[in-house]
Amino acid sequence: MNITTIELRKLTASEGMMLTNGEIYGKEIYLGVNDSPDNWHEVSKEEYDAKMAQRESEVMT
Amino acid sequence: MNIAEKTLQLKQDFDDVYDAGKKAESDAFWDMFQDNGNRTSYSSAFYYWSAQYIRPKYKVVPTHEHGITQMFNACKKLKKIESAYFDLSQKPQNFTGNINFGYYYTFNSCSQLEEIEDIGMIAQNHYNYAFAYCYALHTIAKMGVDANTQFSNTFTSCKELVNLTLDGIIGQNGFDIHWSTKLTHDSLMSIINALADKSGTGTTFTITLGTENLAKLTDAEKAIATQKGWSLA
Repeated sequence: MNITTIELRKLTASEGMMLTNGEIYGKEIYLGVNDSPDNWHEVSKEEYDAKMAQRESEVMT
Repeated sequence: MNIAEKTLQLKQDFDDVYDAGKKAESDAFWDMFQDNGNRTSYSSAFYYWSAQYIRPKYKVVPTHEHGITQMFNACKKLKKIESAYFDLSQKPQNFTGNINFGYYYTFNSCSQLEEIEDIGMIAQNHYNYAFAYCYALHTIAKMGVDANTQFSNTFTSCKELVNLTLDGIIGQNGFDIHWSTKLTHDSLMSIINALADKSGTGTTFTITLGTENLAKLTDAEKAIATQKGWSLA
């Protein structure tokens, strides 16, 4: 019989908020072994939507 | 032959001559367009073409440094990229290190493109904007990556993408596929398993799969990525 311990560190944004490290955005973040909760902060959904709209406008169509 | 039979035969003869004429014109066009099969750069070659299928006379094998940039950019009616006609497996023979070399806007805005067969897409400098706005794309048979391949807006608005198979290693930040909420579990595991082991670097790398895709992975599968030093968004 094998016993495996899986450790996951998960950050979850508050209602109406998103998490970001300044570049990457997500509702949930599963931290890599070298990452820290201190690297992430919450921003409003409106700020996130505006950022995504700005990024998509940069794509030539 | 009676008159009716002769008339039918005459029509068939006319059709045969017409078709032969069309083929001759088509061959002449492709001979010119592809330099009798010697063309090496297809940068922007099919830019804004309106065909549903692009089937050149000579197999397209880009070997020039800028050979694939914007190749199919804005082919808004294109349905499929077929392996019988395209081979992107050759490394550039005169690479000068230009940062723009790669799949730069290669399939961008192919808004009706559904499938890219295995056309030998090997790892290049980047896939920046490669599949952006491919709204109908559901299958990328094989996508070559290596530790230096960069990703920026690679999958923007690929909302119908279901099947994706990576060949190689993801070693750079920027891989964001959160628009593709229909990805299969196998496709997601292809991405997870392609992540390079960065655990010993002391640096965090991040990949964006999106909430819907993260929900398809077990904790053990997520841990494959996190243990290799990748944060999952």
